Amino acid sequence: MKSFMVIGQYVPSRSPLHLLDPRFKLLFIFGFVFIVFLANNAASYALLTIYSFSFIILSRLHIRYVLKGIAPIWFFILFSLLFHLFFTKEGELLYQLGFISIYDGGLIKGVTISLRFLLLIMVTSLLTLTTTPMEITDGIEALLKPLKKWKVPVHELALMISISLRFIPTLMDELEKISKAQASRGVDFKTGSWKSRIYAVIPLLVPLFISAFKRAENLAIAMEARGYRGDVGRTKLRKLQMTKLDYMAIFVVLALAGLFFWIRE
Amino acid sequence: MDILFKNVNYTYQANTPFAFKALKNISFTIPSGKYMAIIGHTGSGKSTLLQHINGLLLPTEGTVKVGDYLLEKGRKSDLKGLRQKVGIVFQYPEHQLFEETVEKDISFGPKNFGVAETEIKARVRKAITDVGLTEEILAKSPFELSGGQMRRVAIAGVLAVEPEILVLDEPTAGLDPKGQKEIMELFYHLHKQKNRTTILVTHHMDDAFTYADQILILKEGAKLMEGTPDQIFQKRDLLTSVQLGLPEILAFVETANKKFPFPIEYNGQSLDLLVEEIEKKLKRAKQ
Amino acid sequence: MTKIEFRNVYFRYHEDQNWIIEALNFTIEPGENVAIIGHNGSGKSTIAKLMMGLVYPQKGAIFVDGQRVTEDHIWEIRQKIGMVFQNPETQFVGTTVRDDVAFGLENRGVPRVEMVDRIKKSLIDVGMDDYTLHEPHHLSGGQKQRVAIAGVMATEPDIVILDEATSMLDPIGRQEIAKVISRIIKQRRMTTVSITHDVKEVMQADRVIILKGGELYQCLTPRQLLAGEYDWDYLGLTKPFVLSVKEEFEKYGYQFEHTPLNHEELIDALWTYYSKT
Repeated sequence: MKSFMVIGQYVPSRSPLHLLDPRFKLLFIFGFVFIVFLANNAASYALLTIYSFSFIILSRLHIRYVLKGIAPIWFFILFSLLFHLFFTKEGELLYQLGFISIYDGGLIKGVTISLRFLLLIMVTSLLTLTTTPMEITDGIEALLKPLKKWKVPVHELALMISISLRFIPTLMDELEKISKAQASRGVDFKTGSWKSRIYAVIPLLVPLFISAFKRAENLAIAMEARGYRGDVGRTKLRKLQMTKLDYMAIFVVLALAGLFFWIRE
Repeated sequence: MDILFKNVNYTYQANTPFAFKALKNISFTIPSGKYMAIIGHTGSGKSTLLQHINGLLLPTEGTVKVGDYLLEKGRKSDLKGLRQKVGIVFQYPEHQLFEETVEKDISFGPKNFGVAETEIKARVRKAITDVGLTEEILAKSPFELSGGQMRRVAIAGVLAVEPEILVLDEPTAGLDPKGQKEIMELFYHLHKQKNRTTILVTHHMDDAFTYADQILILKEGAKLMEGTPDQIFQKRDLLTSVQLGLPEILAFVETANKKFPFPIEYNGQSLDLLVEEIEKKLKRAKQ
Repeated sequence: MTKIEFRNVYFRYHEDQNWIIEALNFTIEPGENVAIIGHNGSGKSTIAKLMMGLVYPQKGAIFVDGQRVTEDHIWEIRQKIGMVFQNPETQFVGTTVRDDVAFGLENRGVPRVEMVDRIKKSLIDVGMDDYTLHEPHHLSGGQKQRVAIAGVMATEPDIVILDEATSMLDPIGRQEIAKVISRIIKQRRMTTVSITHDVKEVMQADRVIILKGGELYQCLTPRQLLAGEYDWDYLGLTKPFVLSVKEEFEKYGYQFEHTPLNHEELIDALWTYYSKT
């Protein structure tokens, strides 16, 4: 029984964004990071904002859900806004009250930096919201495939990631169970000095590690019993295939990028 | 210490799209010194219920009273004091072992509750013999023991706190039949000897009917029925409807009733008495 | 259908240890359903590992389908065997039900088109076809075990090893899984080896192999097992209830021609006893 939620946890749906090839989505995010830093005037920022919100609409997720999902980040966004507002002393003085003075340079810097930050986080969280961890792993594996030539163990790496993903919820459950058992034996995780709280972690971590090792050992046996022998003679169920939708998306994204470069100074 | 559940509701992740109602309006009482079995399927709310007894979970609605401790939403209670009085043996309790030696691990609970050093030593020795192990084991690492021994050490760790109420969550899971019987006998003995309130959460009908004074059956988070084993037998149809599997003796009586031309009543009598009765009826039917 | 043979097998993990398996000889015929029983530490789980070549004997030899289990042939042999573990949690590799069932097929290099087909079929067989895209940790214990069975069945093995496959489930889950397994095994006429503590499973076997300290103690039919005088604790089993009832009746002078295996047989026997005398 989960009592917590993970930021950017995958939400199943069949929206256009969900259906896109993960390789395309990964490359897109990569490109978007660069593009965001190339915005240099009001129009280009406005354009990026419009793009980002259109992506959310295309994902068919509630805008509120997406914004709530990045809640832990809001603090940093607000912090960078206020920091620049109060401490960057460039351009004309806009407002002064006692020791607080706000310059237009500070206002612009604050707004643009926090906006960049917001857009980046929002669009990246869209990736994890619309793509299963497995698809992301497949995407990474496919994109890294050329590295196999240089003996980079791409298949093993991808398998490692996917197995870790599969075990995270299991270990979370385990941790919850162990912490309840230890709480019943009188461990207090919530009060006391920092030192005592750090000590309180030992009865959690030792059993958790032991169980993780045991699981790893059992899994290795089970995998062998199920015929796993590395990359030898293996076929794959999940196959990434570009569809019409992906080609359309490439075309649209290139057009949007063109518009962006035309509009920036 | 009496335990009193009054209209208890519990919802996981309340006020989110993932909200799940695990307990629905549960009320019951366990008088001090009784042996109560709580039975239900996987997912019937058994585990959620037991976590209310020592305040690991607080009811979303309703109240839980354990002795003088009152547990309800938003109320600050002395949970540590409560947890000293209520010992829980969780499923696969050996998964909570972590110390270097068996002795240290058993001492962990009493130490947390501030029991004096000399007193702890005595309690550890008592607990280890109570679970049927010898003192030589105390110096060993818990991780070099067999599965059955680890289970006993973990149980000793709970007993050493000397709780007034003992809650057992499927304490025999994963043991072989012999180990299961031994552990169940051990808890029954502790219950009788100290008149300790014992709550057994299980899906083994046979264990519940053998050991418990009182049985509570849960279905999908709600109370389906409650009563002494005899009373529960009377409501056989309802019992079949939970699909927990009848105790074998009941299943036998049921098969017999289908075949034999005379009715056989079962009210919890022992097997030899039952056979004596059937034998008499068979003889009479022959004449 | 495939035969399994153990010829004078010895095994231990370390040299300074006692033999876990000692001078073990037995043969399991093609299509047979054999239960292996014994108390904890009798070496019964090691037998499964030996059959699959997860460990190798120090002395003696094991043959599967006429082929000796050695490191050189292990991949061919593992193709023929499927194993269902005690805890389904430990064998889950995939992040979804479908991915997990696919794992064994991917390892065997089954072409994708055929894979999709076999996954679908085996999930229908275990009644989990509505859960294709579910994540394993959202499933109940019984559902997980069904998926594990589907994963094994999709690879179409000749031999299935059930290593206490139902022991972690609640009674109803246990019954349902036992039903699913026995239906599939009958349909596909597989050779079955079940390592178990469950008396009911033992009663359904064609033959029972009892292990004692790593040695073969006895090899008999379930009926012979019930007829014999055994220390049930020592066998790692609960004494069958039907046996206790039978013994009670024998106190009144009843004699049973055949040892009854279950309630129905016992009650029929009692009734016949009457009608005759």
